Amino acid sequence: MNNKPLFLVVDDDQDDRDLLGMAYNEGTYNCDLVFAESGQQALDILDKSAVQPSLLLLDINMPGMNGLELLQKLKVSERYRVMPIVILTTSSNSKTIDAAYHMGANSYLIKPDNFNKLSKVWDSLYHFWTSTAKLPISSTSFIAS
Amino acid sequence: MKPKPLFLVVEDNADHRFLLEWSYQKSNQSCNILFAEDGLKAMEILENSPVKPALMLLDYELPYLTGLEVMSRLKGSPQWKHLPIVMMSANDDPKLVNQAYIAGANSFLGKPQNYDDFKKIWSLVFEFWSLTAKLP
Repeated sequence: MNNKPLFLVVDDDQDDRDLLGMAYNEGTYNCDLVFAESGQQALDILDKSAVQPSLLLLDINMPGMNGLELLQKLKVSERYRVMPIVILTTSSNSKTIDAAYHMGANSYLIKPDNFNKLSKVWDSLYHFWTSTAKLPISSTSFIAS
Repeated sequence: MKPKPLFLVVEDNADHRFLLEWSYQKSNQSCNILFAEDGLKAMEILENSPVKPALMLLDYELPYLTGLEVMSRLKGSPQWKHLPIVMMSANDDPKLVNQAYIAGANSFLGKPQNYDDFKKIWSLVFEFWSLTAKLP
């Protein structure tokens, strides 16, 4: 059985998804990454996938359902509210940061403007959430019912 | 220069406070830390301190108000709902971990069992929350 944590990355920007994938491929990270291109696609993956993500990495500025709308939806859902959601966005507006925490974001990260900085953010995120913090049991390795 | 964020550590065990302070001194001190010995003192600090904490590290087992009770009060308050709370406990029973997340914990830490682990874990906690993450 695969016990690696699964991170679901929700980002509409192809370049940003590619850069995160490159940061992931550069090191030895004992997790799997799955990408969704929109909030709706993320919901479809959550509803249909047999393996549930350990953590959701969520962009804010997306067409259709934006990241804060998806965050709100998941944090009031009996099934998904336990899943940690980390915002990863270019928006450093303090009102947006406060609003995200208010809605239940577990953490908030700024998407850096270059690959080296993004790699460092990814590395810090990975090490904190996989080896320092304890993730909820329902989202580490279970098969959705 | 941007002031360092203040982390409020709510911990009743004097040995654990000492170890945390020691780990902090060994770290790059990217935040300031303030201790409260129980949940009631933590609530007093939140009410009265001119500098508001940017993050709370909250022990699960506390006298007077338990960690979950402190968290419920804060997460149910419009004034404090946004405050990130990292819960910590020597007991990392998955049921307890889940209970903490469901009650609104932003993250959960198993308390380390020895000096080296203490130093390593706290250094990662300070680094992630004060240098990588954006706090309210």
